[in-house]
Amino acid sequence: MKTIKSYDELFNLLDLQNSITVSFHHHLRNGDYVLNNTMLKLAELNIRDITLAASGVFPCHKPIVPLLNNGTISSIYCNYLNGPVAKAVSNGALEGKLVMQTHGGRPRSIEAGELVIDYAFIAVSAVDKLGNANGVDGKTVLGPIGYSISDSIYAKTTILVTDSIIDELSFKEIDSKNVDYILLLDEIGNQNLIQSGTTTITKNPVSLKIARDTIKVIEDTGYLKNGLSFQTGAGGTSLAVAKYLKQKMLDGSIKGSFASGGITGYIVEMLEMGLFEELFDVQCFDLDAVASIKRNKNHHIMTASEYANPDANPIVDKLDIMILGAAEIDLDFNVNVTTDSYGNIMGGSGGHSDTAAGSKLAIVVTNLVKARTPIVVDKVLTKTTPGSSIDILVTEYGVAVNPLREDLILKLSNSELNIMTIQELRDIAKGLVGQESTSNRDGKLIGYVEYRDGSIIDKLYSI
Amino acid sequence: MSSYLFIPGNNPGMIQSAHVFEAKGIIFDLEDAVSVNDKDSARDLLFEFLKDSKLPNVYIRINDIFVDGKDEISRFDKFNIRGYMIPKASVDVMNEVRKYTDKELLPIIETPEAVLTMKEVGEFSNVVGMLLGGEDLTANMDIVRTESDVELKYARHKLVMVCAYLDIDSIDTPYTDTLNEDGLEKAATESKEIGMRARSSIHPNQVPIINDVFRPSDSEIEFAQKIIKASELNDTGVFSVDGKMVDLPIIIRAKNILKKAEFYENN
Repeated sequence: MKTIKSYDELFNLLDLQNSITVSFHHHLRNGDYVLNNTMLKLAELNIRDITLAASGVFPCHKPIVPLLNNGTISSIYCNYLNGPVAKAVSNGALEGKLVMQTHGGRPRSIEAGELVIDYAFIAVSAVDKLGNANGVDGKTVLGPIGYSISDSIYAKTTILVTDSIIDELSFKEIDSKNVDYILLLDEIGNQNLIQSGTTTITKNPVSLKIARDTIKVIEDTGYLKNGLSFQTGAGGTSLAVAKYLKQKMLDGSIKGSFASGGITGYIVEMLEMGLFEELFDVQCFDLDAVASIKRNKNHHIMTASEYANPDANPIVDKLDIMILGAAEIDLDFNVNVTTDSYGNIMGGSGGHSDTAAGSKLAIVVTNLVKARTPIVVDKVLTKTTPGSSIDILVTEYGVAVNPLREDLILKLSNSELNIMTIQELRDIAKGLVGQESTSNRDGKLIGYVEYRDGSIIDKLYSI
Repeated sequence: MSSYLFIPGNNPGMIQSAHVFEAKGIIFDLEDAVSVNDKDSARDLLFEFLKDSKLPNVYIRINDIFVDGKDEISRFDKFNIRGYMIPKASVDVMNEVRKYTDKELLPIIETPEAVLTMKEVGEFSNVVGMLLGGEDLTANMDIVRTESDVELKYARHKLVMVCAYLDIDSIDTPYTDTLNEDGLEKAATESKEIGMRARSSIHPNQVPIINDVFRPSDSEIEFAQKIIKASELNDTGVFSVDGKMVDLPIIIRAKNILKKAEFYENN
């Protein structure tokens, strides 16, 4: 397979038209160069009305904001949207629509032919001489590139973008049979900025209290036992839950079956201590996790489809315990992680909806109020995850159980935790910060929140 | 109570979260934690908070009773608080304090005079415990604090004896290295071993560690239950449980352990 050394040379080979759909993954996170460079080059060629199907958009993608304003990019499909691009979209910069998908819904829609990708630009850390690729060898290591696999298989044209051609890969994630072109550049990203969010356990005493109470919930509901499976996020409180879980598992000689998701070095440590038999990894949040893939045969990589596609018997359906965050949660336990309470887009489901739906015990952990903003509200401004998927809310003021889970209510009836109704938590929040003012949602319709099965569960409006 | 937590009186976030930290006693601090420029606003903040507060175990560390402390007591005495922590306690200070309040008092032993007159200070009515102020005491004597606390040995052991005699809480000085959890656990264990009934803390993250140290362990509770059961079945003065000799003092200690365990369960 011929290696191409510049965008100009590549674009001369492609049949680029207006109204194409181009896709990118987000494994380079805030250190990504590929999305910006590709889109700016397309703009130079005056390609317009492009649908950008990026699994995640970060603050580093600020350079493409003018492309929204001038109509180069008319629509966006993504699972997570943050930073200046999110702000521009919230202000109505897109001519077309924003569709916020989930980590499982995106590959579902690709594989079902609903999201048709013309060109998949897939950043990979290494390509071998046959055109196979992965994200763990080479110069700019990303970790497993699970969010790109469906793109590589189903896109009409697949372009690997790399800075390393090597003789032999440790293993292949992308098969050369699905690859049309290899674009070799000097750099694909800044590795120092690839590490996601925070991978440090919080020292905030309120967050630690919430984490301790979460472990008591897990214990009192009977899920702390041999064979448990567990997933948590990369945030400070989520990692604190992992820390306390680790101690409980050590104290009780408990061995879990698997941990999954985005993997951090902390979870790898738990694998290496024998607390889990296996890890299932769709993306690595830090370089410790990446290093583990090569040295631990029980650290398995998985595609986004294997992880969360509801039509593909995904790992999330086998998950026992899931720890989740929330920007808002309402009296029906619906969760918003897409917008703030004014309607500014600041995130997106990622795997939130998928893991909540699949897991047996979905626990939202959050402060009751942050600064003067209540997290427990009467009604979320934007529904990301339906309340029927959320089982328990843990705050520093108390724990609320979804009334749909009578089994959990019974199990926690003798718990020493402060069990309250979500209405009671809401009343406390109101007592602390008053009744918040909310957006009227009277801006122009700018997009949709698409649930993992393809249904629309909410709309997005400009602010 | 096993843990007392100092919360700066000018920190609204911490004050609002005070109930979260699982400390058995909360001390809202208007003295050393608050700079002179902030004291008025701290008093106002605390005043507003205490209007609606239902926290059951609140103390306020007032300022010098001969300067601002008496006005502070006048302002806060009507609220539902347990009482006051009294800095630089001495007999004269305690005589002055009791003119203004009948609430519980926790004098701080932090001067050489206070160390030498500990029993007299503790005998005042309404004194429910005494805190060793290790930093101020050693600063007063121009001594460097050490990890081993050797410089506080006399004062600590004397505090334990005096408080045991008066049946009030002996509260050990805060462990000031807030990032050193292992060090805190070791220090709190030592506090317990020498007979302190509680340890004070200056960071909420210290509280669970202190509570865990002072809480009777499962094995302690189990052994105490065995002793009590055996004592009910034995009418001899001395008997054996698990190969260990048990007589009246051991039975009393076992009852105290179960009492403490019940307290932790209910609080």
